[in-house]
Amino acid sequence: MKIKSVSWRVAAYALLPAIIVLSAPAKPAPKAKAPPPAIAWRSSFATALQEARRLNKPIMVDLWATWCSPCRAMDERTYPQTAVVRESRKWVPVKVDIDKQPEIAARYGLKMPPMVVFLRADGTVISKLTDYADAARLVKQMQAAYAKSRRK
Amino acid sequence: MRQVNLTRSRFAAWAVAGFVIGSSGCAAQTEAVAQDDAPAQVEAPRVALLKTPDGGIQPQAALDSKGVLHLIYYKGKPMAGDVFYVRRKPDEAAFSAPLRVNDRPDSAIAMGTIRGAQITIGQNDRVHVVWNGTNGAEPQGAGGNPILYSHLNDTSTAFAPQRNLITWAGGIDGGAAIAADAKGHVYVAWHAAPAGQEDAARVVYLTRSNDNGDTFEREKKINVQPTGACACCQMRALVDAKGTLHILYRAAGDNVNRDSMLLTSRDAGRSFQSATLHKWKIAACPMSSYALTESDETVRAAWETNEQIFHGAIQSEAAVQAAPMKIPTPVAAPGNGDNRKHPVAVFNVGGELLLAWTESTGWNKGGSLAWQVYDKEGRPTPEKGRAEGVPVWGLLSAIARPDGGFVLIH
Repeated sequence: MKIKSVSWRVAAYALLPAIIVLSAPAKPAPKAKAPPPAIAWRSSFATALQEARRLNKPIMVDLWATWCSPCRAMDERTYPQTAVVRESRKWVPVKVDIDKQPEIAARYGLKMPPMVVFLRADGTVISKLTDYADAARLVKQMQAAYAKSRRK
Repeated sequence: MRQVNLTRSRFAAWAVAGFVIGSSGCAAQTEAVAQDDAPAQVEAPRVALLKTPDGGIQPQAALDSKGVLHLIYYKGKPMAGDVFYVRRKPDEAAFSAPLRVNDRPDSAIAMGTIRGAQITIGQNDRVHVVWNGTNGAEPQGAGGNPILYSHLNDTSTAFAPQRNLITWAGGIDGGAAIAADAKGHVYVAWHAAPAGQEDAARVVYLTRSNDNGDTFEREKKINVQPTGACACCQMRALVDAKGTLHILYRAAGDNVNRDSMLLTSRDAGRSFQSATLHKWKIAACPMSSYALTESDETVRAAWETNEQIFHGAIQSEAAVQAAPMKIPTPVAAPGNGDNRKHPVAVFNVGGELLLAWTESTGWNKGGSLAWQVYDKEGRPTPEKGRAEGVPVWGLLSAIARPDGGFVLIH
């Protein structure tokens, strides 16, 4: 009987640190790192047009191709820039793969990619960017096109 | 392409055939001088237009030593289709029945206009064809899409099974070039880079056959300057009468210096010299192509820079046999046109040059064609014209007729 009582005490002392640790208030979990800001590209041109009409926002169409090195450079260097992402929020941005939707490229007179077409909410063309642009140049063109889109 | 000497009766038949078929193709607005003293019903226009037969696009033509016209063209969906071959002897009015060049269906591509097939005539008038394979086209090789090759058999009844010429240098995009000589050399050049690499990192490669296309050597890098290469641009090659190999491609230094470049080899592709023909700074994919043609003493190149067509004679820098080759004075095609692209050039027996090109084409959009004839001193003549009729993903080809006229195929 005495042996049994001692065993219980030993077991209790052994478990004590674990109980203390477990009963301590939990540390707040580290916050997940927010993803870098990115343009919320739509993948359907038709849906983007509908959305633009509904929200009365202009449309920014990126005509690109997988094999187009300047297009990839736009994706990697220009579009992730904070100023571009911020400016894109005024737009309904949509990406169009010209190999998969050549008729859309033809509609806007694409000669050589990359080309960014800025459209009013009703789909009419405001302006076009016909080659690679760095963030400063793109933002400037986006701002000018946006201003035009607001004029009646 | 070679110049041929034919009898007068043969060229009369040629002229009539070219006129009849050309007239049926499209309405040309030509400013060519009419020849008043010949019967209208048999007189071929100096520049006869010929619509690609069988509803095909992207014609590529070559003449053999007997004056037979060999023509390939594309049919099918833009992303995957077939290359067909027809021929016409000098005394025939109609083309032969089409033969499919690719033995595996849908292994060629038309989209972009600059990935299509090219044709050349080699030893014993053997017809050689090369084209960019589609995604998944067989036989596959290193780095994705293959460079596919075939030649016509000796009885002209079928093409050999298609082969992939890439053994290690894969990652193609814009189309390959092919050239051959009478000694049994066949050269195929392309540019490539591993997926995802910038154009500035692309490299130009060459493989050579020494047995008239039966076997090919392992490809090797040939651009002696690290110029990069414009991924979306097609190349062109020619072996001149002296055996010098000329190859045109577009560079991509820093991804924006998309200059037209000339590679020249006087030792059957063992070593090359490099020259910049024309500078063009552009941060986009111009989707361009080239032309090369030869008369008795002159090789002439044609190319696009900034939506205009230029041409010039390739010459040695000095009166030294081994001096580098270049084009000292590029000449612009006369007049203005919207988005001039895809030049073709061919000399006739008299040393006159036909230069032609497309206008107003775009992505998934056809356009028109225009041409200019130059006299043997290189001066533009009154013979020039313009016509509608370039289909979507279309370009041109041309041959010289034995009577001194030209056939412009669209």
